[in-house]
Amino acid sequence: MHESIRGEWVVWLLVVAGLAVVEIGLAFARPVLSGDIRHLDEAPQIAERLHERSDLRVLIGGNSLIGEGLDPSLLDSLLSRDLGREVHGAMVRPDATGPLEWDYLFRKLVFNPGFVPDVLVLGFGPGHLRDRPASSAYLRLAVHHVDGSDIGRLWTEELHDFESRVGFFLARISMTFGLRDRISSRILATVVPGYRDRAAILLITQPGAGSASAPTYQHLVALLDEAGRWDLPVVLVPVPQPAPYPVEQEVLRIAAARNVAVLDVRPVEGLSVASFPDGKHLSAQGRRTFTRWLAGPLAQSLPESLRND
Amino acid sequence: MLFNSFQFWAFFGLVFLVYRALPHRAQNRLLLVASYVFYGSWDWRFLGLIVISTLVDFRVGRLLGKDGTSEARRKRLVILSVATNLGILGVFKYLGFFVDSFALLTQQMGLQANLPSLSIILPVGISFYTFQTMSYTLDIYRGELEPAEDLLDFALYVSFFPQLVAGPIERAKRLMPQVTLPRTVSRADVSEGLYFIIYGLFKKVVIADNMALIANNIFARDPASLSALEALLGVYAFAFQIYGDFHGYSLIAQGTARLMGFRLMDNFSHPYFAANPQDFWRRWHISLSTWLRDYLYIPLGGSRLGSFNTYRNLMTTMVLGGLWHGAAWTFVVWGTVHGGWLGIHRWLTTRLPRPTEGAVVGRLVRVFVTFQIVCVTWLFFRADSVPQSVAFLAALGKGVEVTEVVLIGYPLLAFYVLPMLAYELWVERRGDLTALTRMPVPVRALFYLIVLLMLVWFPAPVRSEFIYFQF
Repeated sequence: MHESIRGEWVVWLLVVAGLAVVEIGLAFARPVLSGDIRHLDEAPQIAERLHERSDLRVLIGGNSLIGEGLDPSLLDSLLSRDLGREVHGAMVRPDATGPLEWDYLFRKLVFNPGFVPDVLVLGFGPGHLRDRPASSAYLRLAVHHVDGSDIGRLWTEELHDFESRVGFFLARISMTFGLRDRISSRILATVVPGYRDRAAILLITQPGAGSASAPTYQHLVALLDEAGRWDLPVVLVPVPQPAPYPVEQEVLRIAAARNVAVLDVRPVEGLSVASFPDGKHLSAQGRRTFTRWLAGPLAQSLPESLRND
Repeated sequence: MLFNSFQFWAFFGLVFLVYRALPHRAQNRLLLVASYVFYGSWDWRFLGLIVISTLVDFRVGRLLGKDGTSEARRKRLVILSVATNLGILGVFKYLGFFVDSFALLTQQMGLQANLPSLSIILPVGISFYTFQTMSYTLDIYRGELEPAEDLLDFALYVSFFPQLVAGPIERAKRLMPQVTLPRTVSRADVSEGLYFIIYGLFKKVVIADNMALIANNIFARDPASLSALEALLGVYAFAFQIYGDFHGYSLIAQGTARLMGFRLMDNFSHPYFAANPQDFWRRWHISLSTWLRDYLYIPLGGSRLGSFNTYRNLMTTMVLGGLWHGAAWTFVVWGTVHGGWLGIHRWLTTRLPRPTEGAVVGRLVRVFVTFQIVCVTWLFFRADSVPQSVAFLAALGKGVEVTEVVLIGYPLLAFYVLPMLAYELWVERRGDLTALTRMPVPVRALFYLIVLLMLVWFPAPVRSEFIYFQF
């Protein structure tokens, strides 16, 4: 049996060689796959550059809503004017993320001695501060967000099932596996016209979609508590959307219990449905409008110790 | 423990490693324990049903095989076996359905029958293993099979984990000798086994689950709100979902069994290339259609008792075949439509000239028409109720409106399905389901590399269970 089966090995050796070539190719092609990957790859340098500044360091966190919703350089100049001191803002806003990813990402990037900024501004949209199961996000957690020292915590607190643990491990060791969702959406967006705009339609009526039980906020709590341990003031900012939405009562309660400001400046004068060309993210003009509208109240909400250094 | 889960492959890997190190008898004991663990991982409480079925049929088989047993006693014994298996099936699968249907009937007649509404959990794979074990006693009764000598070997035949929960429904004539005699694993077994596993996973993970995304979206909507193109998209998507799902399962079952030296039967042979309904049933769920032919259609008289009885037998077989799939009127209607279609086809073939062999265009037309009719019948299979399937049929006749779902659904369907159909057409033309394993090494390696990358990169965002587990 062993003699005759040997020929089969050649096929599988070639397959393994092919997979290795794909893996190596992805190491080079990785930034081309999406702007979000480029952003996440640059995130350590963003944190590093912020750390090197001697002026007021503002870290703006969130997802693409805040990424497209604020103009960092405009915010810097407006805050500098209002606070009477130089302000430097940096933004870390990975796509489609929430407190689960931010908690691990900020532990990796900023919750380290000497790297803690002076202020953390977290932008969010409707329902974005709710918990999501880590099993649905293990790929990106593995590839981008989780530091090696946090794997144990993720393993024991978040990934409880065998499937997501194996998936996390594979994503950690292989980009072919870890970047699968980026690769497939890139290919499908190339092959299927309008894929990016329409794919979500098919998920709307899937079994279980929208049938979640009462929302929980444990990851938000963990993130705010960690910020508290580092004496980092946090400001939560609901980002405008075409339709108004309330800040959830539980979020307000959690924030109040931790002395975290929730800066709701909506409605924003000058924004209309037309300011959201894709129905979700602000246009360049809308971004500047919102930044101007937010800067004053944001400066007012900061602790006295951060003004006029 | 789904075939498309890491958990199953860890389980199989462990079983396989130990299996390779054991002698034949010990291999059988290991596989029996593994099969019970596999089944128990769904719901250990239903293991008792498999054990009952195993013990009854083993004992009946032994008694049937005894010399000097009278014909009357042999009949009673085989009735006991059939009654036990159909009894299990009846209680756990059909009792709730019949009680509810009877209550509805009496209600419509203006009577008030205070019947309890039963919600009995359906044991996974019950229809498969009861049919498999019934064929054992029936074959012994017919004198076509010797009874098993070892209870544990027979228990393995009933519960062999690769095909326990969704087939193929193996006959004892084929599988029992593979259990009782020492097995060898050749190069072809490894090559074809791995091919079956990888292509099976591709059909489930890439084809079926992505098609489920489209089909679930459309079937969850109010049929009145659907355009004709949307309804048709839902039907096509489900057609490839159920094909990918069930064929994928059968292939993985064949592949895992093959790596351990077992040869399970081919359950599918490119059914969507069928040129007529008879051809379709020769290619779709072959283990069930041949079971129904051998143990129902032919015993009813088959085509030997004149035209009327032939049509009656066809219809009876297909209606019961429909009901086998599930305890719902939608399955009854599905079986009835197929029975009617087979009858019409039979009637036409006796009156029309036979199609010319080798006429490509004619065959293409027949395949196209057959596929469209099969797809329409899937409406009844997929719909939650008969009224919903009728409403879907009505939607198919509505105006052609190009909606957002249409604009994303059809290109996605084409992206996933067309390459698969092109590959299967190539296999069909070669007339060899494992033709790829005989290709040169670089061709095979490239095929596996592409399929593996598709598996890794294109799983659906929502994973679905295997459809046939519920039967």
